[in-house]
Amino acid sequence: MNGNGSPFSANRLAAAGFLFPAIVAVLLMAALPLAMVASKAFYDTQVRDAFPATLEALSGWDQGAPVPDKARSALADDLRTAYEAQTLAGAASKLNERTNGLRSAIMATARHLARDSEADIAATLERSSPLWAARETWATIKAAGRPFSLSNLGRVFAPSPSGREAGPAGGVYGDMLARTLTISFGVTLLTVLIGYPLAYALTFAPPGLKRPLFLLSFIPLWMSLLGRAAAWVILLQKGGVVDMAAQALGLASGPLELLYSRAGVYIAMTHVLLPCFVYPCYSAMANIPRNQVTAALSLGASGWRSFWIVFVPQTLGGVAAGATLVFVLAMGFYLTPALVGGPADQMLSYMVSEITLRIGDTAMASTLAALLIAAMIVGALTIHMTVYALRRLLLLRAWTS
Amino acid sequence: MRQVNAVMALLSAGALFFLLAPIVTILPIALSSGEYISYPLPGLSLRWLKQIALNAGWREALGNSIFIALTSACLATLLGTLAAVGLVQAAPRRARSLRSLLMLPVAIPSVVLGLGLYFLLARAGLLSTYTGLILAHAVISFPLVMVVVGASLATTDLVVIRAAQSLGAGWRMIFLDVLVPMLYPAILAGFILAFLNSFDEVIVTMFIAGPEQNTVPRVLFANLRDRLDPSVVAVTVLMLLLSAGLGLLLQLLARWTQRRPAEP
Repeated sequence: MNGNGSPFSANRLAAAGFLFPAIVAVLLMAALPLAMVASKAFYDTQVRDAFPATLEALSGWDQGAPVPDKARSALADDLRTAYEAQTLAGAASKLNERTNGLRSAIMATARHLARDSEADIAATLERSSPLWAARETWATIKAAGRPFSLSNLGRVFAPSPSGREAGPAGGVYGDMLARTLTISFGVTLLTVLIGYPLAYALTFAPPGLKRPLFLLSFIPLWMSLLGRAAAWVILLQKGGVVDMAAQALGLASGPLELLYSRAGVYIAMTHVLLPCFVYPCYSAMANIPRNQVTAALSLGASGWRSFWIVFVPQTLGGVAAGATLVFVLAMGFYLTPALVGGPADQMLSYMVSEITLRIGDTAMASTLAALLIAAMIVGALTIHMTVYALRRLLLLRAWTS
Repeated sequence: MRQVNAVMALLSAGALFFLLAPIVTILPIALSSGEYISYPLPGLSLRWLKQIALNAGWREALGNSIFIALTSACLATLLGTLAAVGLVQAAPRRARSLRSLLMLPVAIPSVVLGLGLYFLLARAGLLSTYTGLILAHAVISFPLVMVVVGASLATTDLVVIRAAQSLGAGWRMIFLDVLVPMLYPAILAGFILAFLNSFDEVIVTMFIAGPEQNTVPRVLFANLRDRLDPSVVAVTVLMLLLSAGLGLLLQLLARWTQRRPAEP
């Protein structure tokens, strides 16, 4: 960085002025949305917003005492209001996670109340569902009215669905997290294995070949992401180019089912992410002094030996950077698995958008989004540490042998 | 070492084939004269290209995409260029942390940002509006401009700023009459990147756009999931060619910047 302009305080002030619009934009349109996702994940006001009067009436009550009558009439008021405002279904689903069957009880009661505005409240409640007679039901509403909760996180790891009405079973989310991690680690490994030789070739290519090689390696990087995913849908379909080529070469006996399969997801994601590994890896390789390997050779090491103990350990910083980048990008992948994978190959990103846009459970979507980011950070640190452990191992072998 | 190099050359040839063959293979299918997507091509024709050119849905989507990409890229270029200039003026340590903050929009997964923007724009009443879409695209794209212009600034001798100051220029003048003319290849490159980024964006758009705001990637995505016909291939190929063409232009701009003498 060129520090010529910086010692003047007037310039510092100007810096603030130049940065101001971008900082405001990021705080408002990236940091604030992120905070909203985080708060939705663990802070859910759906029940509190739908049952304000009921919660007020229950505030002094505890489960040892009979349910006060004013709570019943407050519930009727809340049900009517929320039913009309169409905010009841979401809150009812939330309550159903705690007490199975409460969703249909709430909706049925609200319908009865809406149909007959003069009805006797106690009788209507009794008629609509036996659940209203149980004190536990009222305790559930009271507990769910507290907005801060980890219940969504609990649902992610819950082993079994809590009934027909529970929506996607808890176990589904846990599986999806595991699958997202597996696919991302797998794709990272594949890009390292395929990308390392390519970065090597870019580093040691003869001068005339270097520029065209560079251009060819990085053209895909700036090509449309969706276009590349789309290309794989077209190529992988049954009877498509890959299928035909495999059969013509005798690699497959029957038609290959690659589209909507896990193999297809690995192939397409590796293809899309490969340049993201090659670049950082190449940068690390280009910085290694050439004469080190020559020195090792002249001291009698074989070609492969000087490659493994002199060259490779020094490139591992670049490998770590590239692998971490690929992993982080892979964790957030949405388009490629959505297009190339089948229902059993979808990743967390897909679930976040599905349950937001189709089911409308934004609280659960937020929990999954928070989980995705947490898993991304943990995974990236794991990769980083693994690569450095590998480097220590290689260097240790170099010294002891 | 010759053995190592030979093995590596072989492996890298394989990698390069894997990288390029799919893209090369798909290009001619757009010119197929057949009903189905298959090789060998029954013949060459422009029928699928003609069909998408005449299709009202695609044309509307193209109009939306170009409008959103152009406006958001203008906004992103302004934000990104200002931010890059601001970062070289800031104290180095503060610049580092500010840079990480400003990279936030590209660091978080699109789905998470999309979800958050969905909450925010719903609260602000900007869901399903062009304003919301353009602002969102500008925020996702401006870090790219910032990086490109920042790289160009790093190789520029900033003494010109002090020279201009000593001659009595204010910051407005320094920015418009000194820095912008010096940096314009990079600013143009940033604009192109921002345009491409917006033109290719589908995930955040999906969360915050209304049904009447179809963009090309959104229609393509929906079509890829429902039915595959050669017109989908034709659009895919056009998107790949557009991005590759503009990408090559970026390379030319970069080389032009390198060859330019240091003085403005």
